[in-house]
Amino acid sequence: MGMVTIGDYDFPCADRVENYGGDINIYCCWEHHLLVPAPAAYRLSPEMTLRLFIEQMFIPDHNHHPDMSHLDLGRLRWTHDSQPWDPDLDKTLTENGVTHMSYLSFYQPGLDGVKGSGV
Amino acid sequence: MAQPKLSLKEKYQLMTRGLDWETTYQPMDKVFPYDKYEGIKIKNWDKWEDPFRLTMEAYWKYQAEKERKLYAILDSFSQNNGQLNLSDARYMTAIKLWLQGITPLEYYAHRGFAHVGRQFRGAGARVACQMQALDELRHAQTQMHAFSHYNKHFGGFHQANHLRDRAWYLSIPKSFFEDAMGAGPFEFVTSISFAFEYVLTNLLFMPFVSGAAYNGDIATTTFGFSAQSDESRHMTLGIEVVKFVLEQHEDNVPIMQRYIDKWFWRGYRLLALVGTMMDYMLPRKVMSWAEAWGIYWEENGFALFNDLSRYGIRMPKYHEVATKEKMHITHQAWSVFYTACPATGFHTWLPQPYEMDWLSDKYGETFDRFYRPRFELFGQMEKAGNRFFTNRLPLVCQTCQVPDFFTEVDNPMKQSVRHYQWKGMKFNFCSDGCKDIFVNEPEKFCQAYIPPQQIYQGNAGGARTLPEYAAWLRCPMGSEAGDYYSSDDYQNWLKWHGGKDTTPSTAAA
Repeated sequence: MGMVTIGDYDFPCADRVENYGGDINIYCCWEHHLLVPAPAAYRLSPEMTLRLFIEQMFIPDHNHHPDMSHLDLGRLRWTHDSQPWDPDLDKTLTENGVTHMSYLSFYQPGLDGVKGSGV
Repeated sequence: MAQPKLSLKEKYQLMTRGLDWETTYQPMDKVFPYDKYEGIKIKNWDKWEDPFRLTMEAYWKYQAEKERKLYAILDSFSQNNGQLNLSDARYMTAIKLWLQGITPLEYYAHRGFAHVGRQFRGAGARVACQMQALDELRHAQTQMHAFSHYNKHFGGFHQANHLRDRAWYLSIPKSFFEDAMGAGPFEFVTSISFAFEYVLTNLLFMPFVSGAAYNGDIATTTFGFSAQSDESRHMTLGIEVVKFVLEQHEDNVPIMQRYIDKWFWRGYRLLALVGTMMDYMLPRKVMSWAEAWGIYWEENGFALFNDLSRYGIRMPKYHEVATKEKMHITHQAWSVFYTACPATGFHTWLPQPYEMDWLSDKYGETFDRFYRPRFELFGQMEKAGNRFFTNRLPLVCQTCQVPDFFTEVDNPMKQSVRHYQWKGMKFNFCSDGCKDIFVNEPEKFCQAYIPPQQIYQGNAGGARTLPEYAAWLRCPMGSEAGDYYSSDDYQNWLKWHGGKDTTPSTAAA
């Protein structure tokens, strides 16, 4: 159903990719680890490799978590926009199909947070 | 011989509807250009009932009397250093959030009702909206006055307008009202008068004013009483609007149902902030969010919708999700405030031992299994001198603008997130409720001013990190932001109480 308006109604999206100076905005979440209580947003170059993002940005943000020492990048089950996903960590975000406002998440079987609480 | 006095009914008739006329120089549709485009069909505006039958003259008299009482008590509170009798200075976080987040909404409501008070062609509806516009302006003002005493003694009160424009968490209430004000007049009154004032307001006012009374805040309690008779008039307007519109034409039913679905969900999401205040910011507890939801929604709300079913209106969409979430959202929201407080205009803290017990008592297994471990881990980090703060901006829902701390209703360990593509662009949401709202009006919500996105685009003074953003907010750690137990508020509170920590040891008042 379209919007009911009193006249022409056509305005640009506030967060269109052109506003990011060549970068993109993405989100990433470590499933069952809600100590950081909402998925984090990142402004990144789409030419960055997924590995670089995870190792240089995401992991340092979660270093305080007791499960971090058990994280094994080879065992992660990924999703992209909530669909199963099999990325190549050494390819760039673009090569992996990641686009502006993509939502990435990963889960490592067996790691369910402190006392299995999902935190 | 003296003229016999007019009855209330005659007076109302003469002084409101009797002053109205059918325009002849210009067609009525040109004079009232906004009250048809939504598709709502009104056959007879004279069917509008106003049970209060208040004339302007009586309105001024009642309000002036209430002002006199309110300001007498505020003066006495201030002269007697009433702030010293608060249960605990942590309570001030609730009032800071109110002044920063809710008081501006009163002003928005004033503007919104002033607008629709001009746009309805029925005089009864116009008068009711105009009076409410004045009430709302009065509430904004009396709240500022009631809270202004605290500005002399605590941080977080001196720049509420500045914060309203800049603080990420205030985009939640702000976007709620801007959405309503950007809608047609019937949607506006359904959103604010019905969904918010009639269906959900008890969840806002009852716990808030009782919370103030329980925690020694005479200023706010008195404001609450002073607003109460206005609120009951607003609630009456809310139910009257909906019944009037539904009775006018059967084509109005699906439009009203869509408004009710949308605004129930938006109002419910906004109230997550109030629930968090009840469970976490009040040192002395009134009732839990889950209990309040049970009484004011599951009992009263169900009865209301039962009554509306004869018009063909069903329960708001996703109400069952809201009821399932009642055991979770306040703990999740407090986790966000706890970890993000360096970039806010208030202080947060870990629940004290008596509060952990109270939460266990109210939320049982849910709290002990999913949230106690989280707070215990935060506690260990605090003890190790490593108080946990998030250093990234969060995913914020495109519709409600709440940071997406929500989890799936059937799996509290799993992040809840929904996606939608429109005109080649991706949007993310916290829930099906918020996604549906977007899908109905993508042209509107694609323009949303989402704080993390705006920060990353360089529109927050060029800040790219949380510390830079906090500097742009003008909220230094200690005086305005950060953990309560390292705050100036706490240090001052100790000083005023001879070094004694007054943190209660029990939730009871």
